[in-house]
Amino acid sequence: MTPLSVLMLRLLERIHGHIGWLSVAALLHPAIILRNSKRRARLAVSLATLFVAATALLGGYIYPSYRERLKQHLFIETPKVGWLFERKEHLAVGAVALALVGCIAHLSVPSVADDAVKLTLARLAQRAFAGAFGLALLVAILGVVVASYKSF
Amino acid sequence: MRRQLPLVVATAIACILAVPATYATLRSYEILFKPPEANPATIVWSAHIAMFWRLWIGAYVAGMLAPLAYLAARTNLARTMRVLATGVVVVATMVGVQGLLMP
Repeated sequence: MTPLSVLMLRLLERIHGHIGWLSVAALLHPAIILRNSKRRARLAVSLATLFVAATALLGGYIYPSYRERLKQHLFIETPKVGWLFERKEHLAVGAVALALVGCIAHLSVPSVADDAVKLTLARLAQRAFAGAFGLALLVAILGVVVASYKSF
Repeated sequence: MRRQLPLVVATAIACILAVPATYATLRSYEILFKPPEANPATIVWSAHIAMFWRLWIGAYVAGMLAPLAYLAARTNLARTMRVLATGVVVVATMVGVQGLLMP
């Protein structure tokens, strides 16, 4: 691996971390405002989901390099931190899925005619964003712990 | 098309929820019932990326679930949405418990 590609990995890792924290902040907004089931927040919902998706895509892109260059060293030096990273990736899967579910549910509320179904869909969206926020917060905290110990 | 949209939405939500549910189930099964894995400290490199593998299996399960979810939504949309709303809590709990206790 050339020094330039290592530099690129470092850069992508830092961008991933920063967008990750922005995602946490962005997810909190719909998690709070959608408690009012009549409230529409298409932009906030779309942007929060976009941030989460971008973070996940970037994470998925650098994950093979993490396995190649860092994972074994992390587990040799501090297995506890290595397992924290494993926890982080599992929780991230849930956060991404719940954010997507929340986004689809919220954006589709106006297309439903039945009021009862509308209410259920709005509640579903709020629950999904609340869950996504909780998981994403844990992911971001674990990410900082791991990154402060070892990086590309 | 407008009448079909809620059915498609219910199907999409069910499919997306199926991915992390399958992921958490597979990982929990590996931890609880399969022989202990090799220590990651002893593995230099492996072509098999377990995380991506579990996600692909989740996508496969989601694909199988799609027609069932669509049929359920077409039969009773309100009930299907209620089940999915509960499913969100169940999946979040599954992922949380598996992620924190069974990494």
